[in-house]
Amino acid sequence: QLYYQVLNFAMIVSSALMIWKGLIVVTGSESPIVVVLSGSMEPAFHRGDLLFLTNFHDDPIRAGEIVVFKVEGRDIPIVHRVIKVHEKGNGNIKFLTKGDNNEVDDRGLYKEGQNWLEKKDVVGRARGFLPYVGMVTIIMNDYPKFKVCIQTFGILALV
Amino acid sequence: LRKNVEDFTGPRERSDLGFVTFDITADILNGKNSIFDWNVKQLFLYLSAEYSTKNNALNQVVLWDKIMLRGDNPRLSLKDMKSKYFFFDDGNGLKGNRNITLTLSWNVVPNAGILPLVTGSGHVSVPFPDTYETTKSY
Repeated sequence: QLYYQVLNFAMIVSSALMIWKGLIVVTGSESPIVVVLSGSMEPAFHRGDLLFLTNFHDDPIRAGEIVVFKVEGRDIPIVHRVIKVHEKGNGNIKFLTKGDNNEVDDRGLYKEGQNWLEKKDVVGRARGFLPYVGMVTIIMNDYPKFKVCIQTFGILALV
Repeated sequence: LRKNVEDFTGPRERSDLGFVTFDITADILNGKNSIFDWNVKQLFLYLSAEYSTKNNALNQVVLWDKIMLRGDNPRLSLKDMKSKYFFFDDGNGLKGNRNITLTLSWNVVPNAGILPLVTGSGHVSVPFPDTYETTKSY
């Protein structure tokens, strides 16, 4: 009996993992679903909204697009809009971003001495979104005890 | 959709800086209906300048943007607007550049769902003069 429960649990976990990995491959992005962490893109996106990304290699980066990028050396993905693009004939691209709700562009957020972002900094382009759904992640980050609660509850529910 | 512009350039350090003033008259529709249907929360409008230079095959610079919320008037009638953001080139490609295209585009932000980028029909070509202006009466 216990054997079946453990097997069942393992199946569910590995299916979830497979779906997630599959999504990574299909979208081309290392992180195809991200949660909006700040209010810098209001009123379009608020903290807790969920974004769906794609990151196809041949997709050009164009002004007006909403990109999710990571500053070199930092782990936090930032969701802002591209406001300047300079692309060379060989495909080499450099671009500048700015949050809709911010007064100034993102140069202050980039690395020391870095003035532009490049394709390698991009996690993906925002293609779709769902409001509020990501709130769970934010609450879990802000209240770690809550995270433990959710995890034990999840395991109990599965078993 | 009509835009009228006047412009002049001024050198800053080593990059060209362009100054543009413009008028925008636009009616944002989705076919015959208002673009603001039940699933449209807002539109993020932006005016971008697109051009080629010796340095870069493609350049796009957003000069101005505006957020239009559901419930706002979908007709725009703006006159004598100055660009919101500095129009710097990555180099000196603005001087004498005859082919700078200004286009109005917008990002449709739904209440939930896909985020499309739409480009308005109609665009304006702006030529920049061959010389720099030394007095900046902007």
